[in-house]
Amino acid sequence: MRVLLVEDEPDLRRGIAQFLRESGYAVDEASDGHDGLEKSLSWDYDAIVLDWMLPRLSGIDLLQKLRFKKTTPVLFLTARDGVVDRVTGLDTGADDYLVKPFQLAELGARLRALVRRASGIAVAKISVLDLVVDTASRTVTRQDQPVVLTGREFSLLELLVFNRGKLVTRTMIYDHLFEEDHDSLSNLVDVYISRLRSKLGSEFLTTRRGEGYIVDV
Amino acid sequence: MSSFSSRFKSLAFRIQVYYGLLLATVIITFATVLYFQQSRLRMHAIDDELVASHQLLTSKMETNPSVDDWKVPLSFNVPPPRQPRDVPYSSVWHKDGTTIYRSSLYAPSSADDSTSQRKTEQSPGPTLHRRGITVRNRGSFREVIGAGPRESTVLVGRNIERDYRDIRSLLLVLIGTGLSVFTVGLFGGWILARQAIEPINKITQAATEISGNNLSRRIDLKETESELGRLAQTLNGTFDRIAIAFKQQAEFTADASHELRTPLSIIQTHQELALSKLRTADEYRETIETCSRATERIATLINKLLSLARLDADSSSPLRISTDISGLVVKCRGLSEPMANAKRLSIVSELREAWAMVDPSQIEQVITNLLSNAIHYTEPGGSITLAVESISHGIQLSISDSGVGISESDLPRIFDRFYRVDHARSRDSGGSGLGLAISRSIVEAHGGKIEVESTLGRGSRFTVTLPLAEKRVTEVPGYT
Repeated sequence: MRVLLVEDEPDLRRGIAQFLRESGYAVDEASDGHDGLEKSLSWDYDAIVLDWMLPRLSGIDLLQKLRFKKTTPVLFLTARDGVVDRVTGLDTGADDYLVKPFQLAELGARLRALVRRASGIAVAKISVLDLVVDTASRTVTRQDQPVVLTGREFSLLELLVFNRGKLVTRTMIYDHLFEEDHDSLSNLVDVYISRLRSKLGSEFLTTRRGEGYIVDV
Repeated sequence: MSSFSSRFKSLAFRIQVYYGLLLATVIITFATVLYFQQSRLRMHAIDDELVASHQLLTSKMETNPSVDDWKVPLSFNVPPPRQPRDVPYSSVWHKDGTTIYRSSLYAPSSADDSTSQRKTEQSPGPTLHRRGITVRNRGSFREVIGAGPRESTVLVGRNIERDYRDIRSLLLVLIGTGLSVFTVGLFGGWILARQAIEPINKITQAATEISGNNLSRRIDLKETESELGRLAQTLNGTFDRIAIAFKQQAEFTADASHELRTPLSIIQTHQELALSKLRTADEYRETIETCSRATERIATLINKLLSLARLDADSSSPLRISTDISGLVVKCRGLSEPMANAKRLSIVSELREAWAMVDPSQIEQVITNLLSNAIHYTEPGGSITLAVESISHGIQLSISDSGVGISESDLPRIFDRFYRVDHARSRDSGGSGLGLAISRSIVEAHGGKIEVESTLGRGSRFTVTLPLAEKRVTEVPGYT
C-alpha cells in the first residue's frame, strides 16, 4: 500500500513517515499544500494523510481541489478539536480525522480501515482458499500455520487480496509498493511474486501472461 | 412555596399594593369629604328654608293676627315636596303653654312640643342656635323654634326623612362608585404595572438564555426610546462586546492549543516509535534530540503565553525607570550581532540619547523581538537601520529593514496573536506568532504605540513611540 503524507512540521513528518514505513506502507512525503496536491493528483495513492494547516495551500483547499478529480481516501490531521473544524473537514470530503496529539497505533488502525473500505472489504481478516490474511497484525496463516513474510511481501499479498477477482498489473504493483524515489530493477515484482508463491503455494494466484496477476477468480 | 413568596416580593406586586393603598386613600377621602359636604349643605338648606318660613310666619302673625292666614307658602320648600308629609308644618303656642295655632298639613303630637324642647336641651345633638332661633332634630323632623309676637313661641318644622334618604343614597352611590373605581383602578394599575414590568421580564429572560455557548441571543424590545428600551440597547451592546471577547478568547485558546498540540504530537510520535521496538543508539539519540526540540518549543510558547497573560491582567506595569532608549538599542544590537553577521547583514545605528519612563526589561524585549524579526526576514547581504530620536511628544524608535516586506492583506493583522504571515518560514526560527502581539501589549502598557509600514519586496519599518520621561530620576546600571 502506498500513502501520501502531507505535513509541514519536519519532525512530525519524519516520525509519522517512519511509523508508516515500519507498518509496511510505501510513503511519499510532501511538506506543503502545493507539493501535496501535485503528488496526490499524479499518483493513485491508497490513502492520503493530510495535515490541516499547511503553508501555501491549506489542507482543506487541497482536499477540495483533489475531490474534483479523485476519490482517494483522505485521513486529515488537525490540531484543532473544535466541532466546526471536524465537520468542515468531513463535509469537504475527508473520510476520517485524527486530532493531534494522537497515538500512532490509532493512526495505523484508521488508515488500514480507510484502505480496506476503499477496496470494499469490511473486516481486517481476509480468507482466500486456505490462507487467512490479517491486515491488522500483518500476519498470514496457511492451513492455520503461521507463515513468515517480509514487510514488502506482505504488502504485495495485501494488494493482491484487496483487489481479489480483479486483475493487478505489474505497473499497479510498482505504484503501490514502491515510493516515488525508489529506483528499482524491473524484475523486482517477479522476484516478490515468486517468493510469495514459494511461501504460500501457487494455487491462490493466477498469472495472466503479459497482463498481470489475479487472486481467486 | 418559594414562588409564592417571591411573587409577593415581586416589583409588580409591590407596585400594585402601593398603588391600591394610594387609590383607596384617595377614593375614601374624596367620598368622605363629598358625603359630609353634601349632608351639611342639605341641612343648611333645610335650616335656611325653615328659618325663612319662621320669619315669614312671625311677620304674618305681626301684621295679621288672624290665625287662618298663618300658613307657610309652599314655594319655600326646596326641593319642592313630593309627598304631603314633606310640606312644612307650623305650630304657635303661648308662653303659658297653650297652643294658639297648629297647621293643618301635618302635625306631630302636640304633647311632644314642649317636652321635646326640654329633651333636646338635655341631648344637644344636631341642634343649632342662631339669631335667637333654636334648630333641633326631633326624630325624623327638623324644627325651628323662635319667639313670635305677643309672647308666643313659633315652631316651624318639616319631615326630613326624604333628605336623610337622599343623603343615604348618596352614601350608597359614593360607596358603590368608590368600589367600582377602586376595582377598575386596580385592574388598570395591574395592566400598567405588567406592561411596565414586561420589558424587564423580557430582559431577564434574554439575559438568562445568554450563556457561553449561546451568545447570539439578544433582547428584543420594540420601544427603543423608553428608559427600558435604552437599558435593553445598552445591555445588547454589552452582550455584543462580551460575544466578541468570548470569540477572541475562543480563537486564542484554539490557537494556543494548536501551537501546543503540534510539538506534543511530535514528542508522542517519536516516543511511540522509539518504544515500538529495539532501536540503535543513534536512533534513540535522534529521538531524544527531536523530543527536546519540541519540549523547548512548548516551554518558549508557555513563557510567551504567560507574559501575555501578565500583560493582560495588569496593563500598567508598576515598574517605571527613567531609561535611555538608545542605550537599550545598543545592548540589543550587541546581542543580535552574531545572527546578523551569519547572514552578512549590515546594521546601521542612528542613535540620539532619549530618555523615557519605562520598564527597561520589557522595552528590551520589544527591541530584541523587532530586531530579530528584521534579521530573520531580510535576505543575506541586506541592511537594517536602527534609529532613536526625541520628537515633540516623546521618543521615537524605528527599526527598518530591506527585507521581504509584508503584503497589504497581512499588514493589519500582524499584531494579532498567533497571526503568521508564513507558517513554514517562521517555524524554522521557532517563531510562535506571539512576538509582535507581546511587543504591542508592552508598548501600549507604556502608553505608547507601535506602527508598521511596509512594501512587499522592499522592506518594513516598525516605529515605536514612547511618552517622554519628565526628568532623569535614576540611572540604572546595566541598562544605560
